[in-house]
Amino acid sequence: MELPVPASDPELSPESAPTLVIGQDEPTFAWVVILHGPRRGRLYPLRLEGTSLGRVPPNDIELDDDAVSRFHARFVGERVGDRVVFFIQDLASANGTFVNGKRIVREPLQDEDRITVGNTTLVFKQL
Amino acid sequence: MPFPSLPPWLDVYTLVLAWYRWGVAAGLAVTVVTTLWIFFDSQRRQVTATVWRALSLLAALVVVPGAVFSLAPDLALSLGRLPVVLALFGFFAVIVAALCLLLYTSGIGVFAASADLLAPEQEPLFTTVASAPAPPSLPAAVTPPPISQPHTQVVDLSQPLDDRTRLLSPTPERPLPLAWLVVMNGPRAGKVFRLQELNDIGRDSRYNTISVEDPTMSRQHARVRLEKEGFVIYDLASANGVVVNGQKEQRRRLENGDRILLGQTVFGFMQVKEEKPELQPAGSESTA
Repeated sequence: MELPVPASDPELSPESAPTLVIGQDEPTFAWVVILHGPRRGRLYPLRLEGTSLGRVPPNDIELDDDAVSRFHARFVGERVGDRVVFFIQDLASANGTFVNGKRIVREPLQDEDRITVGNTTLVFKQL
Repeated sequence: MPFPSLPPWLDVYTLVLAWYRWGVAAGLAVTVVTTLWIFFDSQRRQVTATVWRALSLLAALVVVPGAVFSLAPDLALSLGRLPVVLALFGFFAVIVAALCLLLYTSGIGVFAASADLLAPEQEPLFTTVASAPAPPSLPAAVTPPPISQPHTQVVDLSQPLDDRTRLLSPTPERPLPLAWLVVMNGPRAGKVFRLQELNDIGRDSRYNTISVEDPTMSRQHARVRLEKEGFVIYDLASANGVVVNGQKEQRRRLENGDRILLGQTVFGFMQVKEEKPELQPAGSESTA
């Protein structure tokens, strides 16, 4: 299988996606939740160093949705003072990434933000 | 004379005859009903009743051959003294079953150590209220007064509940709201529990849907129910109480971001806001 590498930016290439080791990472208390369909309520924890979203492995968030690109978007956390702000970064996806209905490239996320990728709606939650 | 070998002075004879005439049927009914009741009741209450389950089952099994003998006297007569012995055993089995029932019902409190389990539940907790036509707007007077009594008071969930405090069962049109409890501290920090319509939180995983190893938490500490106004937390007469955002509460509706302290464990309450009118807060906040 041929993997699309968003060439210029090495940080965004799939090879650099860190392996998730459960229990080792400090919890960020930030998640995305699938809102509709049979996987409604599925919760994906977001990691500070990055969480990838796409249609194929080895994405951290694998969405079975034909309208989602193979490597679609990426969540990254940034420490701002004593709290963490999460950003969503579109990885030049075919159908784009939308936050609250607005197409974005890179956008800070707030609690309850609706993220649309392909035909899937996710909710960003942060405690 | 079914049992000629018995000495006439022994009253056992009459006893045995009576037993096989009508006692077996009654004994079978008592033991079987006791067995089934203890089994399903302990399952529903999620209490350990292995001893009572086993003893009552044993009692029922002892009575069963007697029932066979009373239906087939020829077989009984061909077995010599065995039917007599079994009749006596059966008699004792009924007593054992009755004792099981008595000790089980009085023992629930001892084993479960929770007062609310003792109260007979007149209303099943899992009633589907979706089918009942809900009044369009409830006058404020109908709502129960907020329970802000001293911490030792038990929230009696066995009492008939009014519409607002009724358990709200999910339907296809109105799916279960997306809500979680998140462990915020301790070695389990980050662990997430999806909330169902009825959730019990405590130290012991046998009695609770949500359990955390925290010795300062009561065995059955708190209950979170989905009601008309949203998720509501109740203190189950816990030793250390339920503290929501720094305030000790008996009953409180939970809102996204609330911090709940049970023992030394902090839970964060997280809920996705969805356009569901029946899950919106019903007027004024009912907590103290």
